[in-house]
Amino acid sequence: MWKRIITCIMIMLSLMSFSTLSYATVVDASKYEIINPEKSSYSTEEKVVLINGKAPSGTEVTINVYGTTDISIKNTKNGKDKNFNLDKLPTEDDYILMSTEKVSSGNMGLFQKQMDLVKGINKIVINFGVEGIDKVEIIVYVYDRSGIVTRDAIKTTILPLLK
Amino acid sequence: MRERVKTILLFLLVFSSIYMTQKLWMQLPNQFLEDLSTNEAFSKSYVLSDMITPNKYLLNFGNTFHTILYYESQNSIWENSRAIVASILGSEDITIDEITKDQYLKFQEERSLVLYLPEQMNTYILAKMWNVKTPNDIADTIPNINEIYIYLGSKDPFFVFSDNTNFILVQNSSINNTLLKNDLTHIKESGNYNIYYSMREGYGIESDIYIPSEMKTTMPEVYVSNVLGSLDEDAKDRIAERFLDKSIDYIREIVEGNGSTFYVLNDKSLKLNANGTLEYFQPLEEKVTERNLYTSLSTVAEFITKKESTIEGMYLESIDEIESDSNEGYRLTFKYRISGIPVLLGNRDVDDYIEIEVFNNHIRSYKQLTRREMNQGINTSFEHRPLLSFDVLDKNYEFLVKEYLIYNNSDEVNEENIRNEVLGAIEDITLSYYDPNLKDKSEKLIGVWAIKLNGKTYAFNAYTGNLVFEK
Repeated sequence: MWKRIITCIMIMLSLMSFSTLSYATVVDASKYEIINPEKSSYSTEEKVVLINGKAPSGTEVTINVYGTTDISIKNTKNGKDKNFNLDKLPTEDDYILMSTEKVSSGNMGLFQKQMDLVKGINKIVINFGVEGIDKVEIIVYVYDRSGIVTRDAIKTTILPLLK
Repeated sequence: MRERVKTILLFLLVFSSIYMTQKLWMQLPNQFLEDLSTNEAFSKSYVLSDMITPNKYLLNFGNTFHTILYYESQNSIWENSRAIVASILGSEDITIDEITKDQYLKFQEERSLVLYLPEQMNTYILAKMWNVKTPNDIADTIPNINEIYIYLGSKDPFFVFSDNTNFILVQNSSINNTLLKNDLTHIKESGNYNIYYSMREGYGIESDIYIPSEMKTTMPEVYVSNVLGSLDEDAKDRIAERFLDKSIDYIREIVEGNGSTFYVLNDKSLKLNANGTLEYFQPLEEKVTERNLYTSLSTVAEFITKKESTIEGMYLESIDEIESDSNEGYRLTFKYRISGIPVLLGNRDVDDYIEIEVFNNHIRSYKQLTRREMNQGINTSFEHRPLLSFDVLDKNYEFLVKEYLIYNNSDEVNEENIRNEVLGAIEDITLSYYDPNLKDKSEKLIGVWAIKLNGKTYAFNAYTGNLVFEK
């Protein structure tokens, strides 16, 4: 009796490992790639990002953009500052889903989508929806340099008038 | 008392009728008819410096943020950039260095402006056309250019002149580019532009074609009509007088059965065809054994100023060398932009809106298709935004691959290689209007993405992605 049970378990295990093995041979991970953004984390003053990449035709790619709570708010309970940046990333709980887009990889085997970002830390999660292909996470810190830009603009507008 | 009331009422009626008539006429294309039929000197002149203008502007806002403008009517980009490019071409205080293409591409990540000329032009002639008295060494270092890069960042100003193979860095710290910097800041802050990225940045393909990642703007709806078809005999006579430089009393006029009118004066002739084309011809009076581009362009500018009335939106598309009975000359073709967007002509008999054959000081032939916008001043746009050029490429990918493989006699089968080859072979992608030229009146132009591949232009409907024209 025990011999039969052990044999059954062995057969099931071998079948399971075989199915995983065969699956691994079907999914070619090299066909799935995020081309842009190139870096897994970076900072910018632009509030839009172009996401594009490669995937076999027909693949439906889901792009989620998470933002954080207002960066100027301080946590009143423990008095900790919530000014997040690339060195001080938010916890999972601090993220709020800002937008979700689904985009299909077309005849060229390419996909692209322009997404809006918010000020502060943004987490972009790109999911190919294919087992065996990991989700891609990209952290983008959007900073505001409007004060400096405005001063520059004033300077460049007034200077020609003074000449 | 009663009579007074009647008089006042009559006055009111007259004034209201004048007002209503004015409102009505404002919406008709009568400006063109007036322009064409008038015999008076034109207020506008097509000076030489207007002839060569960029057909595209690439605005680099820093990093990988760019936009493309086809026309800059609302800004002063061309005016300001021409002034500083002319200064640098004539400056004695410059340093010139050759840089690599990779270095040049890296500069696209800085705040800057790139001017794309319609085709490669002789640098010395460009400098002369832009009123540079003594062009400096730049003209010798790079004899032909089709691209001018102007750095607009916070460091000292510099320029790159390129013919797509050679890249010449020119520095002069005394150049003042403040106005141009302001233009860039103004456009960036307005946010009213489409973000473009290069195929190289987007897909790592050897191509510097820029395509939009999102379309924010719609295209204005445009209707065009043939102008010649709606002219009366008197207006046609005025045109003949203008082209043949003589009173109509001295000009022989032949009206053909199909409605075309033929005017002859000595060896000069003018034909106003029923299909809306105008053809002027004057044979060469003497041999022209050596062509001179600068003289030829000056002759054309003068001719256009005297003869052509509708120069709005007209731009030089190409210059080809021609030979006829051992005479050397040039064929210049001009196109039009409507609302800043280039118009592709679908007429199989007429290649372009204006075609001129010039032999130094002599215009041998001038052909023009006089189709003009009907709804000037009326702002109606297509309901939806156009598709992205990326989506149009994707929809027609198999067709483009087939065309590419046939043209290159290739049997490449690797999917990724084919994709990179086809996308890399695209020479240009431009949002345009397509004029099918099937109707004489009120023809609606079609918004298209014009894609140049293997020397051919394929126009795909910008709203459906369907192929509408290839040439």
